[in-house]
Amino acid sequence: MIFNSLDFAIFLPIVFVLYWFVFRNNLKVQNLLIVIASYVFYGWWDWRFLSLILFSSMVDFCVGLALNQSQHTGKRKALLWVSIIVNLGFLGFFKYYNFFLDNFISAFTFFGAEITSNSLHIILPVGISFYTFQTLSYTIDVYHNKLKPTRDFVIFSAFVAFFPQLVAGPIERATSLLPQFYKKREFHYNLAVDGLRQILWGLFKKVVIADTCAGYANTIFNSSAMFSGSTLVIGAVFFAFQIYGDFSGYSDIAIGTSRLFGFHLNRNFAFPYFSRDIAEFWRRWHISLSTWFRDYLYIPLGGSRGGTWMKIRNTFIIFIVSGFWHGANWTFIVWGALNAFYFLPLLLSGNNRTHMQIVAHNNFLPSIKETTSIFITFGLTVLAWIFFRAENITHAIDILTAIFSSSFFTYPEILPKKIILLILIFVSIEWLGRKSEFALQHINYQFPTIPRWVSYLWLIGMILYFSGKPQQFIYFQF
Amino acid sequence: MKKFISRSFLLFGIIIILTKSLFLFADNRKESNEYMAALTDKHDRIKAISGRKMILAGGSNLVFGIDSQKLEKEFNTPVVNLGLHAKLGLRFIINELKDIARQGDIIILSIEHDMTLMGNLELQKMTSFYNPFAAKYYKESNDTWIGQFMNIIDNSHLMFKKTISNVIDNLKNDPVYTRKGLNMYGDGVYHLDLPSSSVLGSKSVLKDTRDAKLKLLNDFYDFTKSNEITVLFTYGAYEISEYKKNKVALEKVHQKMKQNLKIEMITGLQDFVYPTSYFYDSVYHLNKKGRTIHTKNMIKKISNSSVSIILNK
Repeated sequence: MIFNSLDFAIFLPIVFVLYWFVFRNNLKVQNLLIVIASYVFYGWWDWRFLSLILFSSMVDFCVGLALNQSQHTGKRKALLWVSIIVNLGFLGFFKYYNFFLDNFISAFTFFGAEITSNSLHIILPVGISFYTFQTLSYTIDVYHNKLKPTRDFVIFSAFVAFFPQLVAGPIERATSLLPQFYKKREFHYNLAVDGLRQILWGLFKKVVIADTCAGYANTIFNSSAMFSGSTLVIGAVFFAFQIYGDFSGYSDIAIGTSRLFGFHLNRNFAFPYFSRDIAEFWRRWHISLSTWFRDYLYIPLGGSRGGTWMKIRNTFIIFIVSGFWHGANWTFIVWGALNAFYFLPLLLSGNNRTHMQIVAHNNFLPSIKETTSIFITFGLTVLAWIFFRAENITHAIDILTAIFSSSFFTYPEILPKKIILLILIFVSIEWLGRKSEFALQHINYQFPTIPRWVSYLWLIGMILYFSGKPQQFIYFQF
Repeated sequence: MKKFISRSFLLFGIIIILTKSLFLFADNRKESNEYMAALTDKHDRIKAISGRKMILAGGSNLVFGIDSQKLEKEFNTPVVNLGLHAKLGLRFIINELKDIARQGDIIILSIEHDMTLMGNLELQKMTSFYNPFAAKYYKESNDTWIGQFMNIIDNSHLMFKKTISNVIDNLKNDPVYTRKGLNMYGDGVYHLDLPSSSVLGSKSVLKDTRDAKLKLLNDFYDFTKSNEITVLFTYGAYEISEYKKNKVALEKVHQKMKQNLKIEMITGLQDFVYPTSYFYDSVYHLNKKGRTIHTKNMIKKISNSSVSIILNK
């Protein structure tokens, strides 16, 4: 089931009514309802995928309990490895099996050996990269005694499968989400309204911005050979807004939906395209994944505590693994490596934590220096997105070659002025709301009731007008 | 909670009232001048012909590229140009033909190279919005209350979108792409005296993805054979630079078609490839000059096919 579908528009109120009106006074039944609703939500794609999530939940639940009972270091390590192998085993098989097989065969063929093997037709279970990382964080935290394991399987299943964030995050830590299932939830009007506003803004980002940009980005990327450099730049910029609108839109809907049920999820995006350097960008983009890698990979590897070479090695590892997490394709690895190249000079010169606050925090407009930094950072990001979106490395290089040619100075074949205007309006709203958790959170609070409601109706009208066939969210494939 | 529920209902109510008020400005679907509404006229013409007829089926290459009146005179058989939009997809077009073709009919399938099997769902929905009978060409009939409810939602949504775009784009409505821009045969005629566009649309890089379409076409051949309907296959008119760009993929597809297609192919790959100056606004849409030449070529190809024996009877 996807958020921008009629199915979800029917599903959500039903679960909401059952949750608050029927089972309001029974926490256990509320949690069970969340599990059932989450499994229905997930099984809507393919009920067979449920077996995976159920198995993964059972393994980590048992490992958690066993870790708590054992003080023996060797046994505890073995239990941790069971969880890692099961979770990464699923991920490796479903996501990376064919990639490794194809590259293995290519490598042997290159050296003259003849190997034949058939790739398997494996369907990638939706959101597997998200929930495996979420359950892994639970076992690792229990192993490090940062968290007491839960003895309630319903609560643990609800934590793993919590439907708002199950398929595309934010990747929640057990330390943050799990305790919320133990607390009695109270309905708060302001929290629920805030949730609805965030859902509305998320839908706007997805349906109006991302899906509209997707139409142009797909046309340009799919037939890149026939377009000039200037058009390809437009395609890449459109893709940048597509992926931002798509993914941050999903996160907004997820966080907003959770609020309706009395849960708090962590922020996943913090206006990344207003970043003044790449380090700031990575503190603002897909925050839950960046911090996951930081805590469970970068720091255990030594982080930036060691010498220069260690810093370089760890930076490359974390960015390349992050790239590979997105998909089994060399394009994602190059995308990760490119970001490591962007990031390294800042890290080595000690400037990676220069911009901790949002740009122009005390001003309405940014300074010329800040504006220039924002544009340069955005340009570098767009350049890296070309690798992310391209079908393969050759395709990306062909696009870059065309961009850095004289055809860059020609009038673009595709220049949708209305859509560009729409993007500018969107960026302006984001700018006005950049000091809040999401753009719409506080912008129109100061409006009187009627103009505020008119602005909601305008957003709803835009969503209805731009919506067609519900488009999958890009990050579901990861 | 009460405040939240009452305000949610209030918002929902306002949306419904505003949408319903907006629908007061919606045009009458049956009399709509919308391009896709022309399908009803085409079906009406088919119903009005009692005997054998020639049906031209495919995408908009037929709307812009054929003078049906000439074909009718040449073969002394009533002609209906059923072409409308390539994005309706091959499955839609074949299902439509199965529904309307009768014993003795002659079908000329003129298919664009970029036509997909399943077509574009939104366009299909839009088509069935204006021509309710067309729903069965792209989806299983669903008479349950859920199916009917979904239909109401779909149609209201489409009407909402259409009404808004009519308000926004009213001045921009291109008369070429309207129901009135087509003549009684279903041919587009409004563009004939207009200058061609400097940039042609519908350019694309084609890939070899015809296997599923081949199966559908062969199944359709079996259907026509058992119902004593004659069917011929041809490619649509195509602009030369696009042809050159996609030549390798097209040749691959053509070889597959030649080897496996049961339907008689009346053209080679290059027969309907024309210079840029013959096209109106896309690489499949001919202008007046192109249309005249293409119609002549089409007549020649049909005359040289096995159908000529039936037509001369």
